[in-house]
Formats: sequence, structure tokens, C-alpha cells
Amino acid sequence: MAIIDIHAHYGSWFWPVRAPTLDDLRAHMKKFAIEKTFLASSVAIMGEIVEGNAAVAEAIEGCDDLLGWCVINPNFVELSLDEVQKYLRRRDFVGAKMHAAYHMQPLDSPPTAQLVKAMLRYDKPLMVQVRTETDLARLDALAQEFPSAHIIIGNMAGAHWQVAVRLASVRTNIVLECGGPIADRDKIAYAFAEAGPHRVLFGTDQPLVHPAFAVGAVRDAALEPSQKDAILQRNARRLFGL
Amino acid sequence: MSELTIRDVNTFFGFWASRPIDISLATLSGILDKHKVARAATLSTVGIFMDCRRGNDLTWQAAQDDPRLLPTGTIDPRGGLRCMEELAERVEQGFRLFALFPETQEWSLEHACCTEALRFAGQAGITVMIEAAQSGAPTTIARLAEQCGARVILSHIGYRNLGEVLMVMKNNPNVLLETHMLTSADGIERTVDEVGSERLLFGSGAPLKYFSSAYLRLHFADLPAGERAAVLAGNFERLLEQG
Repeated sequence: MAIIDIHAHYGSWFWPVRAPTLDDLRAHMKKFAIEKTFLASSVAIMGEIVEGNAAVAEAIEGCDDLLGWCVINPNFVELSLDEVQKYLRRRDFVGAKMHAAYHMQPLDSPPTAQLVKAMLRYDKPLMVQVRTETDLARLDALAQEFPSAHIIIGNMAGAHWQVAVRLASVRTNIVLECGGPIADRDKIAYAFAEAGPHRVLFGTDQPLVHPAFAVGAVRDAALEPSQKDAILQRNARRLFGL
Repeated sequence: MSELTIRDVNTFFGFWASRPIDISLATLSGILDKHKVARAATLSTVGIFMDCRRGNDLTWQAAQDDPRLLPTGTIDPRGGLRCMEELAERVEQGFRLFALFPETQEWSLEHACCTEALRFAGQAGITVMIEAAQSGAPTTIARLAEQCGARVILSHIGYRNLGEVLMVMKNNPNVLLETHMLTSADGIERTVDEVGSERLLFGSGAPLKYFSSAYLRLHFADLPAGERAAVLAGNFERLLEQG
């Protein structure tokens, strides 16, 4: 069963986690039959969006198996708009990514809305990493303001996955990425049942989460093999046009 | 890779009020069957959320009914002095592992009962597993364990607090680690390099957590077979079943 990993990182972190080389990534991809991995720059997430996005662009240049996320930050709207324009027209960049925990802007703020509006012309998804239920409420407002935007809740909002699933079940433009360190046993099947069979996508969050951990969660989920396949690859192929 | 014996230091049964999930004893048993777990330390969540005495009774009975289960006792410091009576009785009964839930039950590690419990544990030679996800918790627990001569297992350790934990473990040989949230790409390997494989114990968090997440993480860890076997089962056996 081939896998599309829509959530991985490239670069170092302040935590004691080894920054993966491309060889490391590909070794995991081979071991776990991951056909494609989407990379977001950790450096960009932590603040240096130009440097970080450029590092990812260089790393994935000419690759079929590695694709990039363009990290944006609503605290730097003009810079982020430039990054969106620079990268989202490229085939090898799949969309944009934001981390509410780092940029600390409300997700329904005017700068955030400005960035989402700018993205619409590219018709590519926005993955948002949230930390709180307040973030999710604001993301809901953003999703309602831009019904044609495709929004992915990264890691199903972590410990708040139940709220994230309820949100995805009522907003047709929100889908869920099911990776991350929260391995609550009911979350994947619940998400599949409540949000819908096309609305759950696989991600690992590597290197913060080893692919084995993320694959283990889907393996144990109370779902049929065809449903697991939808999560592991088919839903990503549909959403990203792969 | 050949099949290795699995001993799981972190399982539960009962109910979890905030999640509509079946974590009954039958569900746990099914998971142990499916994954061929040889032994699992477990406790009734009644002890966490309602009544530690009744929970410990249920835990003990479950272990009598299923020889795979090693009973994990618990006390709730919010109950005050009764805790120490309960702890003493359960050690007398035969419990060798206890688990404390300061984060789930929302009490401070500076609680007098925690210190008294660790002091008792140190004197009785029993092991205490403690939730330690919050920054500073591993450091406080290690300090208390050293003061009390107790052996502790830190639970809920992930990449966010691994830095603190590794520092603490390097300075405190009585501090161990269970693996259910050690998710990162090199977390297990880094910990083994820094403090040795003899101080990690496999934990899954089942049936609250996906068993295979924790298990496959360890299965695919870049470790020599002997060290993987130690983490997966040998350390549990040595610390909790022998002597």
C-alpha cells in the first residue's frame, strides 16, 4: 500500500531531534513505501520564512518524490505574499503552511485573511497548525470567510482532535491530516466516520514523529483496508491532483 | 526481524470520561492477544478518576484473572492521609508498581503526599511511574526520587521535554523512562546513547492509544537486537518481575 506523507519537515529544530538529510528521508520513504513526502522548512516555521522556503526549494529541485510547502507568516504580510507568488506557481510546491503557535496571530485576523485571499488564485491548500480550541474557532471563521479555500488542519489539532473533527464535519472546505504525536486510539476512525471518507489525509510530522509511529496509528485504526488506503494515499492524490 | 517478547509497562482498563472510547478489560485483553504481549502492567481507571481503593481492588482482581497482567497500583493525593494507608496495604498485598497522575488529577508534585509516597517507595523497594509531560516535572520528580531513594519511571515523555529528561537521567540513575510518547525520529536511539538501554521500558498507553504506534516505533528503532529486546521486555522483567 503506497503512502503519501503530506506533513514532514526539513531543517533543524530547537528540540533534541536530528535534522533529517534527504538520504534520511528517502530511507524512511523506502522502508515504509512512502511514495511522496511534502516538506515544510522548520527554519521558516520558526521565523525565517525566506531562508527556510529557499532551503526547501533547493532540496526538492528536480525531485519527483519530494514536494514543498511554502511557509507563510501573517506578521510579515508583504514578505509572505512574495513567497506565495514565488512558490505557489511552481508544480513542486503543493500549498502554503502556517503555524499559529509561532506567528501568534489570530487565524481570522485581517493579515491572515489577506494571505488566504492571495492564495485563492493558485487553488492550492493551506495547512494550518493550531494549538488551542480558540485557534480552531478562529480557523472556522476563516474557512467561512473563504469557502473556496482548501484548509487542512495539521495533526488534527493535536489534543483537540475531537473539536477539529467536528469542525471538518460541518465545513466542506476543511480536511484533516492525522499524524503527529497524539496517538489516541479512536481518533482516526472517528475522523473518517464524522468528517467523511475523503477528508482524512496521512501525515507523519517527521522528524518530530517517526513514520513508524504514524503508520502504526493507521494500521490499528478500526477501518477497512480500502478506507485506510484512502487515508494513506487516495485522498491526498485527489486533493493535490497527484 | 524475528518476533521478540513484549512486555508493556503502561496500559489501562475501565473508562475515560472525556472520550467515548471502549477501554474495557476485554478490549485491553484483545489488544494483548492481537499483538502477543507476554505481560502488561495495568491499572483500572476507576483508581484515577473515582476511588483509588476500589480501583486497586479491580486492578488486583484483573491480574488474578489474567496471568499476563501485572497490577499497577495507584493513589490519589487529593485524598490526603488515606493515601499512605492505601499504599502500605497494597504493597503488603503484593503490588510492586504504582502509577501517579499529577497532570490528569491536577495536583502539584510538591504535594506532601507525593513526597511521602516516594519515601515509602524507596524504603519498600517498589517502582513508581509518574506523568511528567510538563516542563520542570521531570526535574522535580528526579529530585524527589533522589531525596527519597526511590526508583521512578517518567511517563508521557516526548520530543518536547526529552532535552530536560536526558539531563535529568544522566544525573539520576534511579530515573527511568517509558516509551509510549517517545515519537521522534531519533528519540529512542538518542536516549539509549545518552543513558543506556537498560533505563527504557516499552509502554503503549493501550487501549487509550494505538498499540502499534509505540510498538512499531521501537520495532524500527536503529538499535542492536539485544538493546531492543531489553527495552521491549528485558528491563520490565528485571525490574518488576524478578527479585
